[in-house]
Amino acid sequence: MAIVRMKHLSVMAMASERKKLLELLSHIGVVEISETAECDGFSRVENPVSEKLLEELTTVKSAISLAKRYGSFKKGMFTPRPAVTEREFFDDALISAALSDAKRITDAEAMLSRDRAEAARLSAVAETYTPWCELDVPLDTPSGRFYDTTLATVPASKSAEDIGQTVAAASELSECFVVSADRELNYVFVLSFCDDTERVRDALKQIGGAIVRFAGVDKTAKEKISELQKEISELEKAISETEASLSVTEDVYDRLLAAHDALETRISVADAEEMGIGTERVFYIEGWCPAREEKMLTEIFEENGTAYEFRDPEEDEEPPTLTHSARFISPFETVTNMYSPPAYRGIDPNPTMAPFFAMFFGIMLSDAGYGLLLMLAGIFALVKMKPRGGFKNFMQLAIICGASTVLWGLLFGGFFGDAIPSVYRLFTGKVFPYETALWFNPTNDPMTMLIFSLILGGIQIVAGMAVKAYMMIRDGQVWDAIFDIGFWWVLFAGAITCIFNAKVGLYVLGAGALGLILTQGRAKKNIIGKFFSGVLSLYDITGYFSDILSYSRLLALSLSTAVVGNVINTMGILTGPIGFFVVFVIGHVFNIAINLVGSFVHSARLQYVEYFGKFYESGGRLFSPLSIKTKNIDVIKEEI
Amino acid sequence: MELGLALALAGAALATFLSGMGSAKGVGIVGEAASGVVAEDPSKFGQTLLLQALPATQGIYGLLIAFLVLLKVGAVGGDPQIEITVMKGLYIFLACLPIAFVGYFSAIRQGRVAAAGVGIVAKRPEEVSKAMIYAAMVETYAVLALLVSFLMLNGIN
Repeated sequence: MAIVRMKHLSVMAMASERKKLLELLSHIGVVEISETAECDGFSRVENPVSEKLLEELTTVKSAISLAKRYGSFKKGMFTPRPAVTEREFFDDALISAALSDAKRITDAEAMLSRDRAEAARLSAVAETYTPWCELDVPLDTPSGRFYDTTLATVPASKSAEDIGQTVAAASELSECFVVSADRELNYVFVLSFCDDTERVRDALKQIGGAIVRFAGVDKTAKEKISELQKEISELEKAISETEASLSVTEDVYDRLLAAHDALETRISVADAEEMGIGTERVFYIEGWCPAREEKMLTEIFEENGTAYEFRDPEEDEEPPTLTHSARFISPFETVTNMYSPPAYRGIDPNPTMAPFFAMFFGIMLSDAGYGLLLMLAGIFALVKMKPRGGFKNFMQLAIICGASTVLWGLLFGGFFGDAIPSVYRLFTGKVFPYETALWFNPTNDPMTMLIFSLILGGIQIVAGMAVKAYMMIRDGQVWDAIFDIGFWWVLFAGAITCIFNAKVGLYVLGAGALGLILTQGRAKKNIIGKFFSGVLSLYDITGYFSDILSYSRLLALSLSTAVVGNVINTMGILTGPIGFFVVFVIGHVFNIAINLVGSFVHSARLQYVEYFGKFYESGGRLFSPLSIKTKNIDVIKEEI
Repeated sequence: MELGLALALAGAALATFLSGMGSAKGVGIVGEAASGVVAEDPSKFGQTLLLQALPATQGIYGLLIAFLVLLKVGAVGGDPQIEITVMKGLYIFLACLPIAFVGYFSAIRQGRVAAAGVGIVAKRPEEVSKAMIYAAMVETYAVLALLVSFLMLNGIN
């Protein structure tokens, strides 16, 4: 329920033990390694393995994405993650097996893309022969003693007769055939005497023709095309064979995933090695660990014959932050960490923030139906996907906030908007005779809701100030707590009393104000400065006032959910029973999506700006111990 | 009597189309920025979509007020015999103004903040919530305007 106390740890071991030691630490997973400065005789550890590991990781990564594309297995969103034992995880055999799979997959892919490019090239070549199919002489017919052949393309705008006449005009004794024609070109073959060839060609060029040469093609177009097609079909056969070999099984895929995580772990170990310093013989490293793990680590170091030292953090050191919360609070750490983790010497805001967050979320969404769906979604995800880390926290948050939404929905009478009265009206035509809200309905009674929202705001502001007072008293500044917070409370109490008894209230309020005027300038040197600072401090009342008004968003957002929900139901009724169902489903899905985001963001904002503003010391660095990296798989812990 | 109804409807129209225009513009600005990021990295679609949805709420607030007006004057699902005097129509019209104007301007500003937030998603996707909070700061004023419009409307008998 607090920020965990940290110990500084220094370890010295034989250089040969370096990797083993750090692997052991990542197995334990409670030590964060920090970079050790170089000093006399000790130099930074150089680790050439990390390059190689990074390369291997790249190979495995690309194999995984290929396997996903070509794999013959189905992995849905809800498939639980594969699991391996820790012994397997740290075994080199896992990585070498996965690497050989990965190499096979990436090689096959390389071959595949090469073959595909070749097939595409060949069919492009075949295209160029197609127009000449009807010609039954080899495309590159050698010149005879007397005659020459010419292949040419002429724009389609010239008719076959035009071409014939042009060629005849150039050389009467030549023969001209239009082999084929398409939308753009005529494909022309001319047989002419050697002496006339040049003239014929010039004439063709005059009418926009271009001479085509197929150097060295001693076959007819048809023969050439069938030859190419044979090559292409061979390539296609090879491609489909390669594809078949690419269709990896689930086992291979899981092994790739495991190897991915194993490599990431090894890289983090290698990085940790490089953070240390050493000589040829010994290795030295520093880090942080939670104080409660000291005993366990001591035993392990004793067993391994490692030299070690634990000490408390010094004043100028900033240890990493680890918060330890009760089960129902820990999901809310996600919300706080989105803002910033608490400073190591600050205070853990989660236990006091969590109830407010859940309550405000519930009030803003305030629909029992939506809350129920949110809870079910969270439970479904937790049971089916067995997620870990951030996502797991988020789903737990969804369940808690969903429960709060159900509660507030019942109190305010929201169940898919006003679904129950609407359905009743749809089928009976009469107005629903009962009140659906257990407490009151904010849509009908917004003033009550506004006052309720502001009261909740007041409570949270006072709670924030109370935490600040606690921190001051903890640090021995009891008088500061009384002056800076106590007097404000007196002033608040007076303001509230005014509602019931104006006279008494004003006295109390005045006493609080006087206290503030007298004490808030205490840092100033001369008496005038003290007085003016004291008076000016009363101006802070506007800050508290606007903070409390900010909680009116509780009303506005709960209205927005309820009224839009009601509008959907009303529109549904207008369209009749079948239309009602369609409008209901689409409309409420939309309303949930919009208001879920709104409720989350705005209840987070109330914590960050109004609540944390009162006391929170942010700027901590999250504790990230050297540990087994499990992005894709679960590792079953065991003794190693 | 007819003028009263016309004024009330004008208020509903204003609340819907001004805040709707603002949201359309705001959502549009974010969408343009988000497309650039998603072109590079399609996996950021979900996060940018969240940011894009933020300036959409003003349009919904406007719709909400417009719908309450329509209920009040009996144009939807109510008693069409309600008499709307000129003064009452004017009251309703005035009640629509806060969400109409604040909705319009805050949605555009919020859109610009969220579009800048898309830049955060591009460089540091884990910090998306900070971008969302920045955008939500702008929305506060739309929420306040909605509140005042609602309370004004609720006060008219």
